[in-house]
Amino acid sequence: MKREHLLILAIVAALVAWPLLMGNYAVAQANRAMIYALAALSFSLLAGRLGWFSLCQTTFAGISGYTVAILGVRYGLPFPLVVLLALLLTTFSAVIFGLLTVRSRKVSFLMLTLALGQMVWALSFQWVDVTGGYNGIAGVRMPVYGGVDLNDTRIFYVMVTTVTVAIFLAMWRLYRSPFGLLLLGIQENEQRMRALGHPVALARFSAFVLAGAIAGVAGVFLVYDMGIMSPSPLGLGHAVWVLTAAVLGGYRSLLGPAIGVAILITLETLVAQYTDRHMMVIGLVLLLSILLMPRGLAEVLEQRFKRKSKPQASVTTTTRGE
Amino acid sequence: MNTLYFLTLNGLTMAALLFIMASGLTLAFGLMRVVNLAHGAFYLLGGYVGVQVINDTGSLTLGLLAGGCIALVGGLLMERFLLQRVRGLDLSEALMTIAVGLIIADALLVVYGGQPVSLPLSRELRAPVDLGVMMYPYFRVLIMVFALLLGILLWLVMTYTRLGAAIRAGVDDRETAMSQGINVPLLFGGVFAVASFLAGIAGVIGTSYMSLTQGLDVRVLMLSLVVIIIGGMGSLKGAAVGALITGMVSSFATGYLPQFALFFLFLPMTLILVFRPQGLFGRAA
Repeated sequence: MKREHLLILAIVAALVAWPLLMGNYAVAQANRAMIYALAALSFSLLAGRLGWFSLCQTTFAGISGYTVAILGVRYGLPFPLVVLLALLLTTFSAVIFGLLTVRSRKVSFLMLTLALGQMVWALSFQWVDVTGGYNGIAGVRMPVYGGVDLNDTRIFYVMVTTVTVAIFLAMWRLYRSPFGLLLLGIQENEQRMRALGHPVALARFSAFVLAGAIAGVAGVFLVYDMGIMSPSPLGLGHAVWVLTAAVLGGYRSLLGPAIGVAILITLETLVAQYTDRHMMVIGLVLLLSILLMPRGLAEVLEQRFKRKSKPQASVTTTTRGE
Repeated sequence: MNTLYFLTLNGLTMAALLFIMASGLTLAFGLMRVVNLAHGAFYLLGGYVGVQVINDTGSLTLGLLAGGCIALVGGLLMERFLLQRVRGLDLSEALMTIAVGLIIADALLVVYGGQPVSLPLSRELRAPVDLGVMMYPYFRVLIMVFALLLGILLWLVMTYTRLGAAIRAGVDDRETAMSQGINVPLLFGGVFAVASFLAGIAGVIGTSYMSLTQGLDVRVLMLSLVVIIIGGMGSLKGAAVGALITGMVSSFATGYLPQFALFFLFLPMTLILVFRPQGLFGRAA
């Protein structure tokens, strides 16, 4: 318990120190990393708690981003309203996707989310009147309030950090709340949870909508960070990127996805000097993660730390038998 | 009236292609519970290699065989060296196929570049033939005939041969089938090889309809998934019916309401998911 509080303090201290010590480029990288950490958290909430591997979490981020771009740039609505509507619309799409997928399990869930996500992706470049097609919608900027330009890298950093830390802390509480434990229970033995009188389908559905909303927050930041919304963040490549980060870091732990994103971004920056085949690099990282450490880096580190290893079942390490 | 025939024929061609694409995927899923998400990449691999062989030798048959075989080799390598290590963990298997798909698709981009590639067909194959109601390109007629023959062949093998009986037994109850002396792992390898071969062949044939480009692997994967979700994962009959529905809907939507073509493409899948989540011919989990 105490160690966890120390860890949280250390992370917050590092996040405060980062913009004070580092240059603009490093701060911008940190912004991007935190946005993707939110997306990876959204993925891990479903993967780690429910064993549901989703390939449409980046789609929710994309829906949110497009809403911001369309309402903000095309219709010039005020910033707070734009953000609110984007989050509402994303949550609404998560409700619809949730209704369609709540009955599916494991691999069929993966396939369904893949198909649904790619459907939105296809729509995003075919519905040119609304989305601007391949060119997307440019000029998405935050407002200037009282002389403070919210687009400034460091001010943007403060906003992203605050929201990201708040969401991670909320998830920290949620993971150990009765609801979080119920989700784990459902993953381990659905029949038993049902027999105990828990609303299994409702819990699953709520988790899905919550994860969608978190991805929506990531999408809002992502579109303001990029300044342009195009179909590419909705593509399969991005979905797999987030999945790889979560698997690499460890989707069962809270910090795992954030660690995975940090490593992946660092790795991509390093590799970019030698080759532009970054999809191949992502593919290799995913392959090696599954082969070498299916529970992710976070749990490897944790066990090294604790020494007394409590064997825990992971979705990808439990056998197929029901 | 002519438009109606034309759209119907286009829909049938599309359905035939979709069936060739999806049959491999549904076959592997039905027996091994492995969703091969590298399916689209194998399609692309078969397509590129097949077209290159056709360009070099001028023979369509050789191209088809080469495309099928290269995908078969890729599938077998993936099955032996990667999937076997995580056998039984279906999510790990699925994630692994995603990784392999990414690597293959990116490697193909390096080798063949980003320019669209289309299938070089001889004039006789491209020429229209009289179908009684209207003229229609000969090669498209061949695609439909091929899909029909493939469907009948697969159905005959699955229903009437010992091999088919063994496969069905492996699907129904793996342990019992093994205790009866059926070599299920060998069967799995074989089915996976056939499934990959079909993906490669589909890549060569499909290139006559849509040219090979970057990102086509994902589109093919998505279309195949839609087909088998409608039909029921693992069911051959389902793949045929799913392909027919998707092909027809897609063709008529493109003809009459082009802006909403994609919406209509996914409409049947969504309806199926709401009212019959296991698909038309799938069994409830």
